Amino acid sequence: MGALTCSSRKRGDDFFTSNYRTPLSVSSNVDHISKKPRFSPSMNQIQGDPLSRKSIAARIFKYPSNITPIKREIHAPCRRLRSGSNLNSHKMGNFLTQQYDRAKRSAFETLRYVKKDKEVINIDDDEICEEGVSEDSSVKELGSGVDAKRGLASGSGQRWKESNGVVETMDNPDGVKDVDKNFQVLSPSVVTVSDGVNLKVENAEKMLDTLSLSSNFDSAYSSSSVPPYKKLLGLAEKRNGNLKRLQFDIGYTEKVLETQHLLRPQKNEEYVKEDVITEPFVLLDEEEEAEVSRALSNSCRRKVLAKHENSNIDITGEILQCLSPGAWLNDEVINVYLELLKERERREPKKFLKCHFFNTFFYKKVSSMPSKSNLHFKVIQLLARLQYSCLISGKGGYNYQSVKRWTSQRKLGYCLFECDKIFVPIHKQVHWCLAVINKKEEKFQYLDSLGGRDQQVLKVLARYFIDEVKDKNGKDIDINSWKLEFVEDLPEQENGYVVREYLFLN
Amino acid sequence: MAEGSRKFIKLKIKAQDDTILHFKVNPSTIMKDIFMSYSSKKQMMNYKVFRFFFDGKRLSPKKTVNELGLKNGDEIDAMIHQDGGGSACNY
Repeated sequence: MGALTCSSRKRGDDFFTSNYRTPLSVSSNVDHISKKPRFSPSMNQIQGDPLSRKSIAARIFKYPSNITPIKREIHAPCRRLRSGSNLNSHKMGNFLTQQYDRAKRSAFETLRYVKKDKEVINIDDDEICEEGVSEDSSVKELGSGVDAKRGLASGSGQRWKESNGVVETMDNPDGVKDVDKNFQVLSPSVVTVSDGVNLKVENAEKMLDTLSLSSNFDSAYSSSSVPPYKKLLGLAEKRNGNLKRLQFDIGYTEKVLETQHLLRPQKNEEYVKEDVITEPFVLLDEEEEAEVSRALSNSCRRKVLAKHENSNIDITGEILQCLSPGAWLNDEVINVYLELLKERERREPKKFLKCHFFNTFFYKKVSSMPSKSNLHFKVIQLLARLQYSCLISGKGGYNYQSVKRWTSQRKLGYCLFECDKIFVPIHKQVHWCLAVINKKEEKFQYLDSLGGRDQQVLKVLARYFIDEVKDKNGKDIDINSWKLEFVEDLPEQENGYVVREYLFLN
Repeated sequence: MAEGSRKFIKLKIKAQDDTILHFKVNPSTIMKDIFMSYSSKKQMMNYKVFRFFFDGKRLSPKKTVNELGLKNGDEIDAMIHQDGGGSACNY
């Protein structure tokens, strides 16, 4: 096998040695099955001898393009013989390991090359061949661990896998380095043939040689093989560095993830704690403010922002806009707010007085004319306003029948008479007022932010209250002692009707 | 036909001026349809200017007659919407 690598002047000897050696080695290997396949390529090499006779320059020129593909093709079958799992490992497509393999192989080839230059060693090698075979395991141990494994693994697929796996990628550079050292040891040992260590190393190299299935063109770069090997070694080392960096990156990202996972639940707990703290007035953060401004913007005019099931009122952006300063209040806003107040009272009945809230249309209804005239309702109201006496007498703006069914116990769930306060929001064309039937303090209150005094409202309400109690409870109530109060100390000229209502509840 | 006519429910919608419009509706009619036809009778483009009440309770336009439990002869109040401010009023 060394014949191919020899220089031209020693070619004859080389040929002889190769010829001489082959039968011997074959005979020595008869009992050793694993070694058989090694020699078939070696024979091929001898046949391919003429190829190596090309000029060195041409060989160097050819080197990069020719060598790699052919090497692979030739190697494939032999490896299959050695271990069945070889194919699988290639199929797995571990690109890096393939690269390492190639680099290693080239390194081994160069080694063998150097060895071939020293013919004397070759002869010794042949002589010791028998010993070498017997000492296979020890020799391999001298070489790189992975390669030794490969040699031993001839039968067992698992080991091969290990060597091809990640472990190998880690070990490979070391192995290559080991071989490198061996090579350095060898070069001075040309003279000292008898050195046992060197012989062993040679044996190891021989083993490696056969393992790597030297190609026909191995001899082509006899003298020029060192630089590419170094190149490949450098490349491999670079890749090793990259791998290490990647591994570090992976570890780093994993740790970051872990820390993030650790941080997240803590944040959630904080949020929960914040939610638990319920202050009556909390400043809105930026997000909430943005949401509010979006809800009040023109783009949300038609969008239903909230739905109040109890009063069947949908709050759209348009309706909410009437809450902006300077805008007029809508009946829907007031009605929803009154419903909310009622709900609050239902939630905590002990905290608040028992109240009833009529909606904004109650007063309109109760003060409407019972007559079925075809006059426009505004005209009727105008007439009613002019004739106070008529209103009280029931001829004009008082119609209990129209609101009789509004306060049935079945509907409300409670009797109106039980209530401490009855709130009647009053709409006066363009102005909102509030009348309160204060049963607790036995008075009728009228609240007008403009300081208006409307006796008629209170009279209508008084009459309504009498009728209501009579109708629902069957009692006559004396309200002559009740006072009519026009509450004066109000914050004037405000849209704060709702705010006042809030104050009154407390 | 007699059975079919029995299925219909007669509703009255009373305006603020006590004018009453009579409607004959199917129990599965959505209230919105009734409101819209009422508004068109009153020459209003949008039914939302009216608030419809039955016994003081606001009627949802999305529900059907049956869901709201309206019976034959029930009277619905149609009130026109109310607006009012505190600052700009002269009353």
